[in-house]
Amino acid sequence: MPHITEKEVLHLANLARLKIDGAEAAILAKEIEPVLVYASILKEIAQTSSSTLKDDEALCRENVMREDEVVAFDAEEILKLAPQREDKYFVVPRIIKRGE
Amino acid sequence: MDSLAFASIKELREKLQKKELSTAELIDASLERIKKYDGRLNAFIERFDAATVAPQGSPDAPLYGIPGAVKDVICQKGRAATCGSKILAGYVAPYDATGVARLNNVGAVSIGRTNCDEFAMGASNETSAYGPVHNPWDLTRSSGGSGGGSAAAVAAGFVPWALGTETGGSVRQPATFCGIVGSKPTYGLISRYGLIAYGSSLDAIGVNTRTVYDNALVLGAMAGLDKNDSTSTRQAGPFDYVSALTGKIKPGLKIGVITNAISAKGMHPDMVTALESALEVLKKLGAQVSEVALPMMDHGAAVYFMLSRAEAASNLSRFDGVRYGYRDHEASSLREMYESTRAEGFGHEVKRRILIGNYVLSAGHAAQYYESACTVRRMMRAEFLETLKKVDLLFAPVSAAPAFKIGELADPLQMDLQDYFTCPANLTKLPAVSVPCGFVENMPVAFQLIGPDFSEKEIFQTLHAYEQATEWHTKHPQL
Repeated sequence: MPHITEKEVLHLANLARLKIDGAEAAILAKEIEPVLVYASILKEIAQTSSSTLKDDEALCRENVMREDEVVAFDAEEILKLAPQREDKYFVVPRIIKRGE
Repeated sequence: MDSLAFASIKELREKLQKKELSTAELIDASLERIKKYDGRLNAFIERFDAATVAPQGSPDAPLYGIPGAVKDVICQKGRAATCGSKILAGYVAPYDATGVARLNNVGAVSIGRTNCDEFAMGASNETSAYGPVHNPWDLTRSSGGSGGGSAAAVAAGFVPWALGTETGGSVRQPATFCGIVGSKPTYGLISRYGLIAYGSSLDAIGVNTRTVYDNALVLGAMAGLDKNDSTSTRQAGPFDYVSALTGKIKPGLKIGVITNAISAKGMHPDMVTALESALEVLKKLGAQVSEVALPMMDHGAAVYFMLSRAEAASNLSRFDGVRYGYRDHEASSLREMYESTRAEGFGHEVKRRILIGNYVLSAGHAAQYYESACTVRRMMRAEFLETLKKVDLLFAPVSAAPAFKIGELADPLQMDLQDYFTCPANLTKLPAVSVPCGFVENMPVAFQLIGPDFSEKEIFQTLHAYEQATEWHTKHPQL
């Protein structure tokens, strides 16, 4: 039995907000399958791990934090990158249809 | 001015200081060479206008007036940043990445944005929305990836340094294919602030140069604490790596050859010969060479596929067409806008990785894939650290063969497996640097040294001594 089906690819694409059609889903399922087969050995190997194995001790033991200060960017410089804007707002398509 | 093309940073600095050359002349020479030859390579997505670039700060600063280039996944204030993707069309970075700012502060001058696989996802530069990068040694071959543009630009003598980034080997593999030096520092040594994220537990900024000295110089200038990256080292920079470059190695240095890497399936027989010759040179320099086995390394690629895709799925959710970049303006609802913007903006490889990432993180599969991969990653690091108690540095190939032809690796899994030799250093967070060690099929090949956390100084010292004892760094492609 394959690890991943076309139907699952379409479901994942929906969750990831990616519009793909059936033909693309079929190609992707075929391409993703061997990766999952290749990685399926990991579960078995992980089970041989000794319980005393600790997480990384030397690196990133604690976060480097910065002061809680406002970093001032020119708002106009950020807003002008928007694909669509009005005044100081980002404009997106309507969520609720007219008349609803 | 083509005579300057292959000069090292060290040599260029001397010429600038003796006033044999002005910074403007040097920058113009770089830009002219790119204009003349980059049509063949496609290393640059954008070459900046000479009028818009100039060194900052004191003329005595270590990189004052030295031109270089930046992989187009790293923000440069006031410049576009595309990640080799259509989805970032129109985006202009409002700030400098910390690495870029630190290089600017010591006088370095970025003169362009280099091509790369889309969101640094690839090993051939073929997933870039801006087309593949051709290898300067053979235009029919791949530059490697994801940082093919940075590696090709340095190899072709366009610039003496170029920043790259690594998640699973995207500096070292293209550097190897193009015959130059590529570094991936210890995780956290260089801030990722301003690096557009792919796999956050793996991402690192690295450096492409033609000599080990230059690499140590540029890397050291960027290294050290940055409070804008919570995973940054606590040690303040910059770091001095160049004073250790004496041409000698540490007396009694122990090098462990990773036997399972050298005997990996598909290893080109001439590659083995090149690696053995390199080991002979290291022995002559005084290194004690022994064999070590790191069986966990053989699972590195599988672990890497799971973790990098999972993290990519999360990181790339921010590209939604709302605040910046491409948007499908035809969409009639918000949801449709998200879906079609992302479908049209991302290329096939990026979609593939996002979907794999979502699959291995999903409720039914996370334990089998994602969580297992996290455990095996810890096992790998433990194994590497244990081995590094017995030897100082590890020796391994960077690739099984020289650069493949553009279009040759059509099977996505075969392309993914390019990461086998490189991704263990990313997964274990250890520093690794590659240097050229010969030619196979008239194409450059390399080896890499991997060391304990923050052992960059020792790695550079050893590789510099190797480089000085050999002539590979004096070979350059004819364009």
